[in-house]
Order: sequence, then structure tokens, then C-alpha cells
Amino acid sequence: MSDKKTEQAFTELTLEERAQDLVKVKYNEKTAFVFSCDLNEECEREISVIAAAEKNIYKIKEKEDMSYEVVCIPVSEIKDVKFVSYTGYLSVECLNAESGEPMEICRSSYREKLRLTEAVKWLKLYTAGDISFDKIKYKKRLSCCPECGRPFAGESQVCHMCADKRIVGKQLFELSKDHIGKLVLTVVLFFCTTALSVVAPNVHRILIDDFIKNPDPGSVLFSGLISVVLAMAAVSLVSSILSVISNNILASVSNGIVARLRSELYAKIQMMSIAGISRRSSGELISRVMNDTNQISRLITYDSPRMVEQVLTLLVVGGAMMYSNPLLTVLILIPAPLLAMMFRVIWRYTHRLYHRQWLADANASTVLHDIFKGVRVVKVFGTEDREIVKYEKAVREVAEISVRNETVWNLIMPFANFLMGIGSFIVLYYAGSRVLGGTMTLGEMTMFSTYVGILYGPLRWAISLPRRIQMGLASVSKVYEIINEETDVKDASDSVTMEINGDVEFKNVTFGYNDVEDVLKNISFTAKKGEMIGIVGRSGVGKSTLINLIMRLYDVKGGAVTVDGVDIRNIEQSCLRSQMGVVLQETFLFKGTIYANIAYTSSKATREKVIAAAKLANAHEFIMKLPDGYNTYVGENGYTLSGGERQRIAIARAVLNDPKILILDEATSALDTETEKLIQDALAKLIENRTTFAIAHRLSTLRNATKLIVLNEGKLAEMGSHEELMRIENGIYRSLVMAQRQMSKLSRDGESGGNDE
Amino acid sequence: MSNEKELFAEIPNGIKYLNKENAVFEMSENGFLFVTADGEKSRAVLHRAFPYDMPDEYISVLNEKNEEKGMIRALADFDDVTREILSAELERKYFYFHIKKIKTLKDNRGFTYWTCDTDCGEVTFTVQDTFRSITKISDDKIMIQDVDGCRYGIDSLEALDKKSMRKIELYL
Repeated sequence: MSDKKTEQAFTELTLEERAQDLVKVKYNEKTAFVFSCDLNEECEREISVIAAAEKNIYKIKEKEDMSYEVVCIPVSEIKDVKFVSYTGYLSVECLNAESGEPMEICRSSYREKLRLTEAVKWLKLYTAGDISFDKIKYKKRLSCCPECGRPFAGESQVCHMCADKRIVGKQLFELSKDHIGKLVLTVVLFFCTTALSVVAPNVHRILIDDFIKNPDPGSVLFSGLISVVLAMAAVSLVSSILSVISNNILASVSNGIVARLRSELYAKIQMMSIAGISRRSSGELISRVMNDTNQISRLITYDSPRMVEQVLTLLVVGGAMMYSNPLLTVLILIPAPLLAMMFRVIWRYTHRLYHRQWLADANASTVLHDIFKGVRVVKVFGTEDREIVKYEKAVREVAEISVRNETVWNLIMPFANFLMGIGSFIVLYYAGSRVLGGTMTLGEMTMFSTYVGILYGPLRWAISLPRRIQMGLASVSKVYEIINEETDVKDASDSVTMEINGDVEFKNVTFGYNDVEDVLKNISFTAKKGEMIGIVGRSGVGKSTLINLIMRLYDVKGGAVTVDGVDIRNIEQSCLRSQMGVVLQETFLFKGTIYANIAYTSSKATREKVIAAAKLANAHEFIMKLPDGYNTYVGENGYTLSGGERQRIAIARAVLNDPKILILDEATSALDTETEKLIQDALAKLIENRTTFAIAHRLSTLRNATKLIVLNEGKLAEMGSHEELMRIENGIYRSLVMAQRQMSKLSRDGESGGNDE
Repeated sequence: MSNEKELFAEIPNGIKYLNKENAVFEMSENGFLFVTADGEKSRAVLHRAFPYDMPDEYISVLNEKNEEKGMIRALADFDDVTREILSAELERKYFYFHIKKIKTLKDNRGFTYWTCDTDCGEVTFTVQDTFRSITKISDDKIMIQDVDGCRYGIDSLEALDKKSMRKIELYL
């Protein structure tokens, strides 16, 4: 696999390099970057290389006779370069600057996606004249590690499996530093237990040879027998006590490490920017906080000590055996590697079986989960029978697979156990004949048998130890990737805290969530303190993005957003956001009381303040109708509030701190017209003395706005008051208002028509 | 009001169907598909409504702004030449690697590493989360999506050789 990948990377690289040389020698141009595409116009697999030079873009193909076919597109002839993803392939398209005809620069399968998006980013900027040729900084991005072929996790360009072992080691040390004394103590305890495991069979030997099988029973001292038995009991007791102590120490170390890692990781995730968080799915983040930390603690407190224990046992027991009978020891050790290999094979085979069972199990529980979640739909449509059949089928499959697996397991395991006994058979035969020959005692033979058990016993699971340790190491590198990640939205070293007055300005702001597409292009406007700015436009045009930028959830790509004349990148984030109040389209209530939800932003808020905020948001009345008033539990498993009620709690939460900037993103969309009217009235009181940004689909909501901003295709299309915008013939705002009026007229007509009948 | 009624009358069930009477499809010199309908010429991007079970019926025709110009009820509604153009365009748009044989398939920590013989030669690729990345289209056909979003398909599991089948059956 890894060879394949490297080889492939190598040949691609050489063709790319040759293309670069060709452009330099034959066309006398320097290339900024080259990238490969793997499909031709007919969507057949054919590698071609695109070389971006200063005056031309070259498309180079190697023909069978080793000559090159070169297509040359002058940069001056192209405009509007864009990256288009069709269902099955990717394309870089542009328009002919003169005729406006569409052209395709290259086509590729999704395998080249990362390289292609990076290339298009620069091509677009360069051909549009936004940057000069020498400012192009193309970075070749890979989706898989060139070393091992394993894919990188998400956007990361670090391979966790190939991560520098020294760094991982250092991080591991860092983690266990606080517990190093305890860990050393457990190793010492392990050593003692191992030593005792050598002593026990020895005492056993003495018991058999000197007492039970003594040729002269009369000479045996009864007190001697008692002391041997006592010694055996003591050994067993001490080793039990030692293992209790070492297990307890490990448990405390393990929990200490997991708790520390989890809180550190959680704190880090909280500090990450929205972009950093949304790059990863919440499932992935939860898995890193819960599973990977567990994996690490297992590595430190279970796998590594076991490894140490194994090595110690091998050395100590092996040494003891060597000391008493070297030949026998060698005989016993020979089959050990073979057995280890055999168990590896069995393990892989059964793993395959159980993987299939696991899949069937997972499928059955998905079906179950689905049905219970959608139980209302099932009931409403009366499809219970169909769902029962579906679940029955899934359960039957699980049952069939488990029966098969159990059969196989029961067939394999007795044989495996038999093979495990091979060592003892050797001992029995070899030592038995020696005992018969009189050169070995029965006690020695028993001792060796026990040693074989000690050596062979852990073989079964020890073979998976290296794999588990590697998994643990990968988890270390995964967790530290997040802990060490630089936040892309961060406070500048000289950031300031300030009392915000409320003047907001956008200066030529450009922003996009990815490199290829800009969502907002060159937006400029000002909002004075106390003004209400309505943001209007079709869905997906960038309205929510615009307010995300005001809150600095993302940093702008070009231009600047200022508050009171200060670039928000120079204001401390917590200071900035604590003076803003936000009501989002989707209201989220945390598990807890209504009071705690309203007072979420400042836990020190007085009851009076909370009630005042609720009154402002017209929420007080309905809260007081609840039996438990402000102490009503909401959130998961709590009291169910209606959409409008939740919204009003969210508004109360937003205005609690008397924010200087208020942001309403579809804040009233979930409400009926009457409730909206209530809130509108409340908002009219609210917006006094603060700068308000409001997004609303229902344009009537924005009638109080001092200024309306109309976005279209990422650009600021129109700006002005309602009256001014209505005066624009064929204006976007005007047509939106007309359409909405038409809609309400139509529905009114429809209603009255229905009444007539 | 009357205007709207007329407008809807033209479109049965609200769907505007394109056929050989009201639409002309042609390839431009640069290899782009264009459609002329209602006296208006625009780029045509074809998009199947039921790509899995009805690949040649109910095909949406979109312009470059992603607005639907109309729908093709069935490719059979067009003459041979147009049908060929449309079929070829669809074939290209829904490009995927047709897997003929699975040479190796390794599983490691939730990722699977594949080396397959396809109609485009040997390819190696990596799949994350086989549970979600392998879609069963029918009992006989599956589609696989790799970490980059590239698609690979096995058109007939039945026709797949035993060795390949043994490798993949764990993930079906």
C-alpha cells in the first residue's frame, strides 16, 4: 500500500516536474505552480498537468510516443475562473474574456479535490488581477499521508500514525509526570509479584520432594511441613496484597490522567474558533474527549505496565528456569513463537466473525432507534406492521450470525487450548523420563510445569499488545493535535478592552468559508449608535455570515470591521461579545431552570434584573402562568415550551446585560403575527440607544429599521430607508416587498374565496 | 390572477417537460451542452432525479445559475442523435470508477484501504467509515465513496469473483 502510494506520487511528481521544465525551456516562462488532473474531456482517465505561468496557462499531456501535447491558454483571454463540482467529476471552468463563451480549463475526478481547490483559489485571484504573479503561494495539499497512505483526519495535514515518535513520547511523559512516583512504585510492585511467582513453584517443589515423596517418611518433621504450608500461604497472601495495592494505584492514576486530559481538551475546544469547531463533526469531538482520552489512560495504566510485567516475567521466570535446567528451558521456549503466531491467526479470524456480528447488531439497534424516534410518524400513518417486520428481519440476522459464530468459537477454542498445552507435554515427556531415570525429582517436574503455565498463559492476549499500544499512541497524537492547535480567531497581543459605544463600520469586507468561494464581496456600510439596520436578501445570500463577522465568529478575509473606529481584531473577544446581545433563529435552551437560562450570560444577575429582562421580552406573563414560575425546568426532559416561548426567553437572555449592540437573526420567525406584534413592541423599546442588526424574511418586521441593506450575490446591492428603496424602479427590495404583498393578498383572497363558497 | 392560471395550465402537475417538440439540445464547440427552449438558449446541466433506480428518466435540466429550465420525462422522448448526446453527457456527469476486481482490502482503525482493478486501470483509495461510505443501491449494486468524495461502483456483486466477494462481504 505505502509503496504504491509513494510510487504513484513519484510518477506524478516527475510528470509535473517535466511539465515545469518544458514550459521553462520551450516557452521561456516561469511557472507559479503545477497540478495534475486525471480525466480528459470525455471523462476517460488520462493524466494531464496544468502549469500556471505568468502569461499563459499550459495544459500538458504526455503522448504514447513520449512527446508532449501542449494546449496554451493566454491569461488575458480568461475571466471568472470557477471551481465546479458535478456529481462524478470536478471541473475548472472560466469564461472567454472576449466572447463570454464558457470554457473548461481542466477536469478531474474527486481524487484530486484538495489540490484542485487550492489551485483554483490562486488561479482565480491571479486571473482576476487581485494579486500579482509573484504573490502566488500554492501549497500542495494531500488527503492521505505520503508515508503510509493513511488518510489525514479532516483538514489536518498530520498523520497520527506516522507522528514523530519522540514528540508522542514527550507528550506521554508530560501526561504521566505528576504520577511518575506512583508509576515507578507499581513497576516495583510488579517486580515483587513476579519474583513471588518464581518462589511459589519452588516452595511447591520442596513440599513434594522433601515431604510428600520423601523416601524416608519417618524422618519428616511435622513442624517442617507446617512451615512449608505456611510459606505457601504467605506467598499467595503477599502476592494478592501486592496486586490489590498496584491495581488501586493504577486506578487512581488512570482516573487522574483522564480527568485532567478531558478538562484540558474540553477547555481547548471551547477556546477554538467556530471555524475550527465546525471543521470537525460534534461526533468526532466527543470521541476525542471521551474515547481517545480513555485509550490514553489505558495505555499509561494498563498496556504499558502489562508490557513491563510481561518482560519482567519472561526475564525472571526464564532466568529461574535456565538456572535449574537450561536444556529443558530451551525446549519449552521453542514452540512459544509458533504458538504466538497461531493465536494471531485465530485472533484475526475470530475478529472477522465478531466484526460481522457487531455490524448486524449495530444495524438492529439503528432500526430500533429509528422506529422509536419516529414513533409518531409510524402511528399516524399506521405502518406498525411494516416496522415490526423490519425489526424482526434485523434481529433474525443477528441471531443467525451469533449462532454461527458460537459454533465456530466452540470448535476452535478447545483445539487452541490443546495446543497451549504443548509446552506441558514437552515437560511431561522430557522430565517424566528423567524422573523415571532418577536424574530429576517429581518436585522439580511440577515446578517446571507451573513455570510453563506462567510463561504461556499471557501469550493469548499478549500478541495484541503491540497493536493496542500503537492505538494508544495514535490517540495521544490525536488529542495533542487539538490541544496544540492554533486558534485562527485569536486575540492580538495588544488587544484592548473598551466600553463599546455602538458605532459599527464595515470597510470593504470580503469573506468566504473556504478558499474557493467568497460569500461576501467588498461590503461597506456604517451603522451609528441607536440605528436599526435591517439586512435583506434571498436565503443563502450571506445575511447570517454578515452578522457572524460582526460578532467576530470568523475573521474577515479582506477589509475590516470596526466598532467605534477600532478594528474588532484588536478588541479582546470576551470584551466584545459580552457587550453584544444575540437572538438566533434556532434558540437553544440549556438544561436548567428558566431563570438560569435567562441569566446564562451573567450568573450574578439579580432576580430583579432577570424579571425586568423577561418583561422587556414579553416573556414574564407566560412564565408566571407556569406552576413553578422562573424555577420551571426546561431543556432536555424538562418542561416543553412552544417555539414562541423559547424565542422570548432567548430575547430576554440577549437583553439581560443591556448590550450596546443587539443582533436579531430571524428572531421573530417562529412566532405568530400576534406574538410578533408583542415582540415588535418590545423591540421598539429595546432598540433605543443601541445599535441593532436584524435579519428577517418577513419584511414587515423591519419597518422600524433606520436603514436597510440589501444583499445580492454576495454584494451590497441596495442601501437606504424603506421609502428610498421602494422608489428604485426594478429594485430588489421593491420586488421582494411586492412579492410578499402579493403573497399575503393571494392568501387573503384565497381565504375570502373559501368563505364565499 | 388570470395570468397565473394560464401559466399553470401550461405545466401539467407543475412540471415543465422538455421533449423533441419544445427543446433542442446541442454541444458547443468547447464541449458544453446547451439547450434552446422557449426561444431562449442557455447552458444545460443535467441532473438525475432518481440516479439509482431510474437513470434515464426524470432528468432535470438546469442552467448555470442552477435554475430548472424543465425536466426530461424520459430520454426516449428525443430523437436518436439528441438521445446519444444526452446519454453521453449523463455518462460523463455521473462518472465513477467501475470496480472489476478487489485486489486487496485492509481494515485499520476504522479506515479501509482498497486496491482495485477498474475500467480505468488499477486504483488505490481509502474509505473512512465503511458504514456510511458504502451505499447499497440494490441487492446487486453498490457505490463506494472514498475520503476525497470520489465514487467507485460495483455494478454487479453477483458477477464479482469469489475472492473479491470474500473481501467485501464484511462491509455489506
